[in-house]
Amino acid sequence: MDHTVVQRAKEAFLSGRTRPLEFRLQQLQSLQRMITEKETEICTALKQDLHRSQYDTPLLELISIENELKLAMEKLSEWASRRPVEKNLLSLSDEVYIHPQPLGVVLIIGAWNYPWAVTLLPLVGAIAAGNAAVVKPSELSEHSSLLLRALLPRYLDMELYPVVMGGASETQELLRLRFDHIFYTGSCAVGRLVMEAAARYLTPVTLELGGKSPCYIDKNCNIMVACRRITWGKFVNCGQTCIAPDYILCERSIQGRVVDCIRQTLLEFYGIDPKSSPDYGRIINRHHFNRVVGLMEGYAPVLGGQSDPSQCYIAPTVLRDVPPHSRLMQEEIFGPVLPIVTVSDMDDAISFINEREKPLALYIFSSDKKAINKMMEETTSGGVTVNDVMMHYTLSSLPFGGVGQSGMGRYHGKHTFEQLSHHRACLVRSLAMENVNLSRYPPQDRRRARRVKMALKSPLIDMSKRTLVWAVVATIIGCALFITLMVILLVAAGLNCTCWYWRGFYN
Amino acid sequence: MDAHQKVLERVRTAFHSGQTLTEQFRRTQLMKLMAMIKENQDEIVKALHSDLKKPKFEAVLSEVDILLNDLTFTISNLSSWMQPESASTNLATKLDDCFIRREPLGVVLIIGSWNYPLQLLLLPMVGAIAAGNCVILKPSEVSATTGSLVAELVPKYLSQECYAVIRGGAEETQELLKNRFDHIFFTGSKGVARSILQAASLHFTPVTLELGGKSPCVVYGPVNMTAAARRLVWAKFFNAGQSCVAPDYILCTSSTRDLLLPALKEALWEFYGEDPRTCPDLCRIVSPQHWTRLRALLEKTRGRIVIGGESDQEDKYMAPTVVVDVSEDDALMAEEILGPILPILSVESVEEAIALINRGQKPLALYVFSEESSVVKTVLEKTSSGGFCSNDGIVHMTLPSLPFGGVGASGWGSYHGRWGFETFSHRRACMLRGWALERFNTLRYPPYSDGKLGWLRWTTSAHSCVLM
Repeated sequence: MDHTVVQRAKEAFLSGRTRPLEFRLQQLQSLQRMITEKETEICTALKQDLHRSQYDTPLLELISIENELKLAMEKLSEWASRRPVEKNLLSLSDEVYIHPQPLGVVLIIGAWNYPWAVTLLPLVGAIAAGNAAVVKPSELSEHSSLLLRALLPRYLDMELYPVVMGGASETQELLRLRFDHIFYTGSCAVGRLVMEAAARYLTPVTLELGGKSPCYIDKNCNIMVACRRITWGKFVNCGQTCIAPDYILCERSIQGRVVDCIRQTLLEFYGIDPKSSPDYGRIINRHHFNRVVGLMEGYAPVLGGQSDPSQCYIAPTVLRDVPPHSRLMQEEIFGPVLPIVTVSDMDDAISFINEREKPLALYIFSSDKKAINKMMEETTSGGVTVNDVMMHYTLSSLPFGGVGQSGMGRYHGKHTFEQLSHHRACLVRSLAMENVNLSRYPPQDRRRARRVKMALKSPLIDMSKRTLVWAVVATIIGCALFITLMVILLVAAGLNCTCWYWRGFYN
Repeated sequence: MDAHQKVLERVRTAFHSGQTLTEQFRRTQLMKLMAMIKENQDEIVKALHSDLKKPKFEAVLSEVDILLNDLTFTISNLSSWMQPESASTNLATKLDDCFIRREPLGVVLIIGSWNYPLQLLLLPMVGAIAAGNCVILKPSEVSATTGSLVAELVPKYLSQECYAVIRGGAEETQELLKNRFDHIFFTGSKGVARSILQAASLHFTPVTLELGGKSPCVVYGPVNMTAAARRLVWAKFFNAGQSCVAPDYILCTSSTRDLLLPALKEALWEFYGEDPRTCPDLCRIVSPQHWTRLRALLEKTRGRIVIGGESDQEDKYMAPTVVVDVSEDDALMAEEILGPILPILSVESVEEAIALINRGQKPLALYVFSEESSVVKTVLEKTSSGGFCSNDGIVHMTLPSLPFGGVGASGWGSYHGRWGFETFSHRRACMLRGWALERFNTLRYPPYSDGKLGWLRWTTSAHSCVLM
């Protein structure tokens, strides 16, 4: 079944109908209509999947999809057009440019934590770049996947953008087929399987994985504001965000204050009983619930700790003085449990971070610019937000992606278009001026070799700055002419004076 | 293997020390690399001659000069490439400092190939050094003399802590791949690429694969045959056809073929004389195994050899050979030739040529010889390939402003010039916010409301910055 769906998508792609920009625009507009018209249904599905509040969904997912669509529609013709590049002497009369081309059939494997955003954001880029796309939403966010399967064929070209459903085994089957790019969001374990499967056909992949995103709080900072921002980022979507601050690093002297500020903020956000707050989510399923609860075993939380398996509810939980080698610190938490690990100073925090895998996000809270720069320069991560959390995700001009174990590739805005395009290098020459080419042909001698060397070594000229170059040249020539004219006039005036003198003018 | 571990540990420690982060360090290493090539040009030419009987002209043009050009280009642009790239902001982030930082990946492994043993090893290294990485070089064991030379010279010129050369064959490479790298850059065949990708998946190591494939060459319509034939012959028989971007086979109508053949003969005679075997400007096949492979292709083909066909096993010599009446299922069309054999397939029209090309894998390069721009445009638009060049061959890869790489089966990723720098960098998204405007942030905090949502929608849209 999947085989035919993929085959049909391939044939639809080969028919060439995704090539015209009008077609791509029309598909993007349809997708935009789908999001606008079906917002209520989408919110309902997410409430059933993750107990999401009706505000959280647009905030966390729909706004970013809308913005991506608007940007893609506005910029499509600019992104898809040829990009002239610098030429050298040898190619001065040639057309030299990069031509963005679609790759073919892209497989998009979504995740369950933001089922709409992580599936549709890559889809926007795939459509804009002229690809066909097979969409495989996560089976764990069941209601959202079913809704997506029902909606997408009603708005988009069914053959080019089919939705395929299923769990782990169906995904494995799908991965046996050939795609031109695989875009995967999810866990490292499955990411590895995706990359192994891609090896068969040498398919390029984008892997948006995760990891433990550290959050460092410097003692020199506005701790109250820092904790409010961190609390928001940590407990939104019940901590099930790949870029949620996973754990806090701070000096022992401020740990108490941090805990107090978080306590205050939690009260403000979710009230005395978060379980009854409409704005607080749930864990996706029993398996993940058990996993997160299991991580807390053996630790007495300083805040929260309550849970209710019947609702997959875990209270916003904070643990202090967590040992660096505890189980909590070995795997990505992906839940509403916030460990605080104490460090002696910023250098200690930097070493701590560098001893571990490169994270998807790094958060630094500090009022000291030097300290911020130091931490940024001495660490690496997919992205970094300073004095806030997660916000770098919201700006489409910033590439969103991991490094090392947190992933490979990037997307958002133009970056998705670039990721899902092939940049074809094009040199369009003519058969004229063959004499110039004689230098490179055998039989070879030193004179020819020198000529070719010079031509290839010639500096690159940016023809897009041609006007500027000509303007500068024209100005120089103009000035030179002007100076020459002045000199001539002066000399002539001088001569004239001399003549007049001889004629007795000055008598 | 212990020796490898020690080397890898040393290089990784060097990376962690942070010495490669400064522009000064990178620039110094690049200049030393440049000095290494300039000061040892004679030895390089000799080594290449020993491996491939590469004529001095080809060695200098395609191995030395291309490296020196890229080095010059990289060194002069290094400063600007290293600058953080400003990112446009929306209303919600107007007061923030948003930019993209290019950071090194760490320790990268570059596996070279035998056909351009110096270029394919050191050109990626230029980008890797510029991006601030430490590098392990693994030259091809097939071009052994050049490999030895590189192993001898690199430690003499470059930082011994940060850069190392590890030698070995297929088995040693497999062992090496069990280690963790932060990027693997591979030039070679598809078969080996698959095992590299498998190894890379263990650690989520990003890869760049410069593979190959059959690069088609369409000759159609009105064409200045003399010029076309010269350029074709040059591109095809340069390095005895052992270039990943050599025109692999020709597609043309039978009437064009009848005009092309004498022009090809003429060009070949002009370039290599009566007896190409005695011409110093023609390379040899790199190894007995590759010679045997090519010889077998000539024996299996059902086409007709109209030019050349001679070969000598001892000398690893193969004459520039043209074969006509080749069909799509011929032995010569089953794999990348990578040798001095040029099959010509007859097609009736451009559409037929395009259909044939599209039935195969996406090639690394695609060539069209035609004086009609509509033909060039049609082929360009209806096909895909790593790179494209009309009315010439190979030269598109000499421009550092163009990315060099494949697509689909011909590869993944690109390099040359700035593209190399980008390949070996991580683009880190950075957003530096302030403490002010916390009241503004309350729009996103619970308890939620419709009003808050409306404001948020507006301030985070890309258009909100138009007002500012």
